[in-house]
Amino acid sequence: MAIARVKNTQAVRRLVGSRFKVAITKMLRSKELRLKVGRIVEEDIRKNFRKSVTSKATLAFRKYYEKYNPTHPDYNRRIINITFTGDLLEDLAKNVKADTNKLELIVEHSDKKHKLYKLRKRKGGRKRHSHKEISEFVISKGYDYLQITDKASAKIRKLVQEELFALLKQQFK
Amino acid sequence: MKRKLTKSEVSQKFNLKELLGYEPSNRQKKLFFDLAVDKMVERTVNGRDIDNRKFKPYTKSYAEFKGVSRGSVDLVLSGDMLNSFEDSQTKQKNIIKIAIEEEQTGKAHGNITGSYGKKSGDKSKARDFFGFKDKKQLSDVLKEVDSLKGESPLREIGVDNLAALRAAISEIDIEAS
Repeated sequence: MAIARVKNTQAVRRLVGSRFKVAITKMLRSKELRLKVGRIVEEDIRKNFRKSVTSKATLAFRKYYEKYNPTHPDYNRRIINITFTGDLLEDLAKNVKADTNKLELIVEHSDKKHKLYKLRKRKGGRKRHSHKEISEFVISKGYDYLQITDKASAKIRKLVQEELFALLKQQFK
Repeated sequence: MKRKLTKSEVSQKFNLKELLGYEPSNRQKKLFFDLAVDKMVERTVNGRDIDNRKFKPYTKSYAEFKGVSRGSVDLVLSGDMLNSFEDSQTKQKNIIKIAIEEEQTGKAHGNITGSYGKKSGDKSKARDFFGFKDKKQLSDVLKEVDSLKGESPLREIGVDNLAALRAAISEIDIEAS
């Protein structure tokens, strides 16, 4: 789980009083804003989380699965950026939640099941894992991608500031 | 400081002369209203009721609908209810009456009593966000109001100035963890 906490709100609180809490609560809860934040984190991981694939077995495994599954445009066989079909980070982007009491946006995977990868021949009895379980497994292997980088933080800050300004501005016409 | 909680009126009266110990100025009355409402809204969006106890969590389905965690209770959906406090006029000059606007009264009453559209209230479901129980809860508000005693009016904050709003918002930061 990664958390983006809204800080340094004293100046705007002083200026607009209780309207601030109502506006920021509405803003954090808005589906559009949460999705935008999710997309920022998703894109940051896809573009900037890059670990080289060094194991021959992993390369062979990836080559095999590529044949039978549609891969995401950001997928690269030799780079691990938590992207293969794109489903895992898609789930992350769509599952951002808000804690309006703490002024936090919580970025975490859902408990929904990830699609099974297709194989050359159909094979029964394979267990479907949730996005959360897959994420925990990936992180346990040393690929701790579930973090909000400085770059992503800066984008989220800009987004939050713009949305809040737009919301509060309406009240002072 | 008695509250009136009916389906057609949700309000509370405050005798400012009694609370301050002297006759308040118009400016003090206005400041009292603003600060008391701010305090109530702040308390509510922080998930606390009139007794400063945490609100009952939302149901799982309602939390999902709102897109928040179950414990993140703030009584804000459209935001209209918490923006609907009004300074009701009374004939008594030292009395301040804080009320919920008429069109939001039903919603407020439902939350306060736990009736939520039903005939009778249910205490176990109530989220009592409105008003203050005693003078102690208002001590910081009264201190600030008292600081205006005998003084010339404070400079109004230029909220109509969008540049000031922009500058204040630009101080907001994001802390990632």
